Amino acid sequence: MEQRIMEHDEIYTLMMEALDGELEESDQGQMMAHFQECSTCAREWETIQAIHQLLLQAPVLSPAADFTQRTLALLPNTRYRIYAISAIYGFLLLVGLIPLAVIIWFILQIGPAFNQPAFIRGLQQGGGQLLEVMQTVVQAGWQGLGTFGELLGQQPSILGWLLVLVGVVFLWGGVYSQLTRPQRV
Amino acid sequence: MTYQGFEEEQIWLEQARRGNKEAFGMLIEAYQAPVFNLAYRMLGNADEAEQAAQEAFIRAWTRLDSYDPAHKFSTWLLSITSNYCVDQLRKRRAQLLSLDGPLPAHPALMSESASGPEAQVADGEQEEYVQNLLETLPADYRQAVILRYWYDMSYDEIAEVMDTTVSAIKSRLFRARRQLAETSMELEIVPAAPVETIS
Repeated sequence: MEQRIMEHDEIYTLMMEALDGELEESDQGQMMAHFQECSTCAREWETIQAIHQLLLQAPVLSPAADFTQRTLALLPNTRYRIYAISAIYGFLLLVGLIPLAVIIWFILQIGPAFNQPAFIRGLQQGGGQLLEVMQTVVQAGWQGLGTFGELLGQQPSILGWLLVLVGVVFLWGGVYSQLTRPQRV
Repeated sequence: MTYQGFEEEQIWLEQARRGNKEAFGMLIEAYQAPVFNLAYRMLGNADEAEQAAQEAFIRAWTRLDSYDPAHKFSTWLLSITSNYCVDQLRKRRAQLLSLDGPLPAHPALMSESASGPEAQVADGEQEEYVQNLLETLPADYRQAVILRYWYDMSYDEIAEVMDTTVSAIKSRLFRARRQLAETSMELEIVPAAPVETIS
């Protein structure tokens, strides 16, 4: 039985070779001999041949006569696209290069000043003062938070009012975005 | 394609690359039938086929810089078309659109073989039969069958278009032909086309 199935598979391979015009004469004889014994394969071969001929005869269909003009009208204008892309790239390049050139020029101009002892001293003093200011701001903020915490402890309704206020802001934000969203056609 | 035709095509391609729409129009004129036919055989619907053909030409136009002249322009163009059609078929399947029968033929369809009214009726029936058979095949089998029968492509060329191996193409064609025969036998509709014995 297994040998019989193998034989069928081999015959199918030969059928495909025959359709592609690659079947050798000896194999053709073997195939025909098999068809005389096996009516199923013979019938299938007839059908495959008929479909093969049908597909070979099927015409190449053409689109409507004005297809070329309609398609040309849809083509994007690549020339303008190339010009636009070049302009954008040029602009981006300039945007990147100009600040770089300005920074380099500025450094070259003020570079010698960095070596002056008075400048370095001034820089150190300025840094120290900036640190002091930041410290003061943080302390004040911390104290303010503490005071606000105490106030919340005494008047908890303030928290409720704050939440209502945030809710109102979100609500009107949503209404505004709905009103200004572009409408789909 | 003749050598002169090939040279002409190269000139059109060069001009089209520089943004010349008229030159690209000549290429559309030359390839509209093969591109439309491939789309129609794949999708089975004339309106969709026309849209697919237009989309294929637009894609070819915008990607002309990536075309490698070492390969045939027709192979490249048909590759764009068939890939687009396979995507469309996938989308169609994803949308679970089921069609009960073949879609009506588009009035704009023109067959070169059609002559008198009787011949047109016979051609119409044959056309419907061919299209129904093709639609029973999975997309990749259908693609291989169309490229083999309508475009007379070699296994190598089909493999190039479908971006796969020659053995995979042989296997797909083998299975596709068997499936077509089995479908015909199951439905007991053997095509009326004259059978020429292949020897």
